[in-house]
Amino acid sequence: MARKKSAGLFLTALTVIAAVVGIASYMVNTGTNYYAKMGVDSTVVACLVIGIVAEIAVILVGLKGTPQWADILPVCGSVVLMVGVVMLLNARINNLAAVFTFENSAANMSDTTSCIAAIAATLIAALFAIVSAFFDVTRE
Amino acid sequence: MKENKRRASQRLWRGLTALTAAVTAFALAGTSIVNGFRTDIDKFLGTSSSKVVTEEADPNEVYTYSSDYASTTELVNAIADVGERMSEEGTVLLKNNGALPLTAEEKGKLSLLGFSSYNPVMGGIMGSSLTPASGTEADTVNFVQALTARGFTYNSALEELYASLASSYTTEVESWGGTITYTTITAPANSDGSFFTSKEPSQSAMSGANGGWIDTMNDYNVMIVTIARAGSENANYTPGTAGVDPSQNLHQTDPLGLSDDERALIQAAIDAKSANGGKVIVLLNNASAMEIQELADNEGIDAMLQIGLPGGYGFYGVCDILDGTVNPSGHLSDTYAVKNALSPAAQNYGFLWWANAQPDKNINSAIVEAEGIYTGYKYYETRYADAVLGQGNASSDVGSTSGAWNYANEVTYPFGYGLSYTTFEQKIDSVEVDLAAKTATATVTVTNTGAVAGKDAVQLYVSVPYTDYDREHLVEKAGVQLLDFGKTEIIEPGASETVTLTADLQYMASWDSTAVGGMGSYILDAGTYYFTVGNGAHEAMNNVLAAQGRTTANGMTDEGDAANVQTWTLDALDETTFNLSKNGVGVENQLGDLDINYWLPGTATYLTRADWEGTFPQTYAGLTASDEMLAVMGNDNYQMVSTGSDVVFGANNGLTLASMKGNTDLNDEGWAMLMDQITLEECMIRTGFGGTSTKAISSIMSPEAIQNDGPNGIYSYPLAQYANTDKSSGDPCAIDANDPNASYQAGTMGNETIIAQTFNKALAEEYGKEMGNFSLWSNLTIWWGIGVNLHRCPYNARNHEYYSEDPVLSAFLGAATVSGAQAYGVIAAPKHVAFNDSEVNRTGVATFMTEQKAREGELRAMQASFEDAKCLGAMTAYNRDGVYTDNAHPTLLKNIVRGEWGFQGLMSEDFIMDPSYVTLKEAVINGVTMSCNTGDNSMDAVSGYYPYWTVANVKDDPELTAALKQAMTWQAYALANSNAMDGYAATTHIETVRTWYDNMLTGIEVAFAALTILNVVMYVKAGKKND
Repeated sequence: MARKKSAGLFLTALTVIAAVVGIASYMVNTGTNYYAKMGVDSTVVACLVIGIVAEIAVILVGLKGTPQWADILPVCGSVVLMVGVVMLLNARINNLAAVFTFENSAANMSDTTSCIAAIAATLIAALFAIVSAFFDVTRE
Repeated sequence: MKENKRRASQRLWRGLTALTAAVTAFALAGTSIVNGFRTDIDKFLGTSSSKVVTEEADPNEVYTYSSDYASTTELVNAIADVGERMSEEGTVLLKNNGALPLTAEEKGKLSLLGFSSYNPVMGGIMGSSLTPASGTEADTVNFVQALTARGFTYNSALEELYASLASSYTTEVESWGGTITYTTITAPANSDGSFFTSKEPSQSAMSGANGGWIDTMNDYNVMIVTIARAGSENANYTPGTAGVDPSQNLHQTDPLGLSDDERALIQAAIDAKSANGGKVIVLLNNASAMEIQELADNEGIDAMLQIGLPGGYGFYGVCDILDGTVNPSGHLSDTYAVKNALSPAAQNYGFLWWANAQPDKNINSAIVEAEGIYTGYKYYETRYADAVLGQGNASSDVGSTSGAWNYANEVTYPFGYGLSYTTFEQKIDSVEVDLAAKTATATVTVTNTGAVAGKDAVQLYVSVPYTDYDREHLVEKAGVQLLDFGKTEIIEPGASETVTLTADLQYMASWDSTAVGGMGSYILDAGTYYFTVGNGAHEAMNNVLAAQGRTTANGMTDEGDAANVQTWTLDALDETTFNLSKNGVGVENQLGDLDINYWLPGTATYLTRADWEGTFPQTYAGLTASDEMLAVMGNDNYQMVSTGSDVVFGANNGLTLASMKGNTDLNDEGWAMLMDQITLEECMIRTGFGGTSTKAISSIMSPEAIQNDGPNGIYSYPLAQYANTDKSSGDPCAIDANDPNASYQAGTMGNETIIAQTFNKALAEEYGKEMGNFSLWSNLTIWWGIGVNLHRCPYNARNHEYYSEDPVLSAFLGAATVSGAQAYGVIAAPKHVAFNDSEVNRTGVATFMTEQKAREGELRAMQASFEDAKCLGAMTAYNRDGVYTDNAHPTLLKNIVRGEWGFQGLMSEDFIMDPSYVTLKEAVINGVTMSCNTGDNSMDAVSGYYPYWTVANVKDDPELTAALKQAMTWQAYALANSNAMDGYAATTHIETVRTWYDNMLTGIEVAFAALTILNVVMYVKAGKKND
């Protein structure tokens, strides 16, 4: 029987897109003048990469039907993306406190845009990952 | 169908597993953040994460310090009282044709003009901001509230008019998370190209709101016009028209000058006066000196008061001056120049970028302080003296408002100037110089020659010889400089008071980098020293010139009083009296690398009075840092080694910090034994993460000590946040849980220029004592509250947090406040050590100057707090000193502050910096005890933030391990001698308290972990059931 695409596919795709936006924004942020000095947090990158890989795997495996073993993938994706959100926040909270107060300037606020985008996108990705875990990518 | 149902069931349990697992992960990971920012979270939530448990101890022994007050009622009223008196003595009467004080009848006829009358700047927009008290027993008041409380009546129609125009003068600042709306005037943002926008409503706007507003003043003809300029941390005024909103066409030539709308408002009041027969009084609500020559010249203005940023109670003091309850005795702490932008210092101010800036390394801009020692009155009065003496090309047109430089055209009100409702005569009776004791004792008789009782400030100035030796050795000398000051008690009309000032002679000496065979030292030149007094630096200068035989015929603005000068003669150059500090440490050149010419030879010409015209500062913009400079500014200037360390850590000697309580002898063996107990990891974590509060250290049972900003009072936390509410504990300052002043925060004092304008050391000390008392009740020990950077330029919007342009005025008031607070166990910390005299690019700006300027300027302003008041805390600065970050400068902190000045207390970096700019290992080597960053109490966390800061890298470095232990020893020493140890005995231990949010997090972790397991089980069962 032919498999039809379900809401899970679109939700998982949105998860991947949001996570990619998150990691891209984070990498952009690590290149800005204000945040470059903080370096790249490997835990954040690892969480986001694993999350993206897990969610892509959900799609690729799901398109051919979802074997039972693959049910671990959306759970894994949800968890690592959520940890990624917290790690990202942890990596930036000191800087955000400084930029919003004593280091407030147009340049620093501009550099902070990508930081906020990264946190927001990663959080959205984590939430989408959780929601998409309730759906399969395809249905018969 | 059955398969679909099975799969649907599995999807449900899979989704729920994902949800609960993600929440569990969120809570577990979030716990790490919570631990790292626990102090801030507790501050926000009003919770406490630890408690001190002391068993079987006599409360009389464990509570070292006691408050002067029996209740918080007495406490807050005492704070309010000193705040009021600070403005009574710190408000400066600049002009008065007899309009002030107001009569009883006039008190009922006020018309308040200017939106700042209703929305005054009471503290910094950011930094030393007013913490309003409401619902307490000492609520703060603005101007109109104070007027009402003091029985004044004002024109309500105008109040309604300004209320209706509020949208035109509010300022909205966009920020992440929303818009902040200010109803006061604000300072420009700290960005290149930012500018000041005049917010004063135009005359047409006012007439549009109420066409008869001028007529309403017929019955309220005492017209008070308030003109304001805000103070703020992280803000900046740009000199000249570049600093003014280009979209406004208000003929405003400087952000600190007036706009047409402000002029028109004042003129409207003057015009109304001719019809209503009243009077016009101007209040200047500012901390940065404004350009007000036109107001001084305007005869339509009957009186003018400079009120500073008065805090929460200062307007009571202003009211007391308006109605004559108090006679004004304040004197300006800054020169009010005609054109601020023409000063030598202003030539190198603002965003002066490196040509090869590297923003990713905070290599942004450089400031060459080419004016040398000639800031504020030391420029204006010295150049004036040279113009009168006909030397140094002083009368050239460089730096003048127009044509040949002439003092009368350049200065509106001199430093130290202030009027009274009476008149005083000051007579300097004698000056005894004791070189061996390094003192000059001056006796001054002050006589009230008027008809109103009042206080007067005695300002002792000295004019030191400027000799051929100085010209040859590039030593600069101010024409006149403040040496000491004092304040009389209230003197009745016709009565006299004798004031004796014992001045510290080292503040009369000049730094000579060539002295003692090139080693450098403070020197006293051979020649005649002139001591005098005066109502400000200019009158003092005139007295000296008169003593030197000059008159108005020589170009003096006024005749001086030669009889009011005492002289002392030194026969030969003295370069040895001051080459040992009070601490017994050799004093020699330490700051040669602060000179830009050290790195880039021939770059800068420093201003010398030998040739005002030829050396007047040019602007040094677009400098190119050399490779050597860039290398240093890379912030990695200490290379760790692994040669092995024998520094002892982690010993088990059974001591606690309480055993060293009150021990001020660091050579006591007990200190070494105690500190042997601390672990290397504790040293590394606590130096790396020292922000917001100085955390507990379990190995030595060192308590957590809460840190607080700011110069206008201890304001970071409400009184009850950390107060002891256990009245059975024996704590004399325990409060009831429902204490009426529980919410009180003490950021209610006037800004530091008001304190400076009192010229009253005793009052500054009293302020310190009130903060000391507040500290005892609130258990807030560390106070970053002594702002001793100088007003190099009025354009620094943060000048409200610093006293003055003059180092001696700053030094003694700062030291007095430290002494007052420290008597109650407060760690009162001077900041920012050093050279943070601008907010422009403050993280990274490379500040260059001569060692003479450094030592006779900002370092002199700080020195007394360390040497005399023996402060136990200090805060360093964001800026670079030359090319080194302030914390990493190889000699400033270690050799001068810790060495020459003998500082033994804790030293924090300024607020959060990136890990590279913290320069942690260099800072520790230099005696910094903590960065201001925060994080989890673990090596993983601190090493994650500072990648090089690992036990493996540090443990075998003998210098760094010794420095770490020394830093922690200084920190422990400060705490042991503070009220942070109140309640601590040998039996004391610290217990961790689980807060409600800890319980909540744990609950979430457990509950969602259990749910996750349940969901997994259900998922498996769902699969099996359908198989």
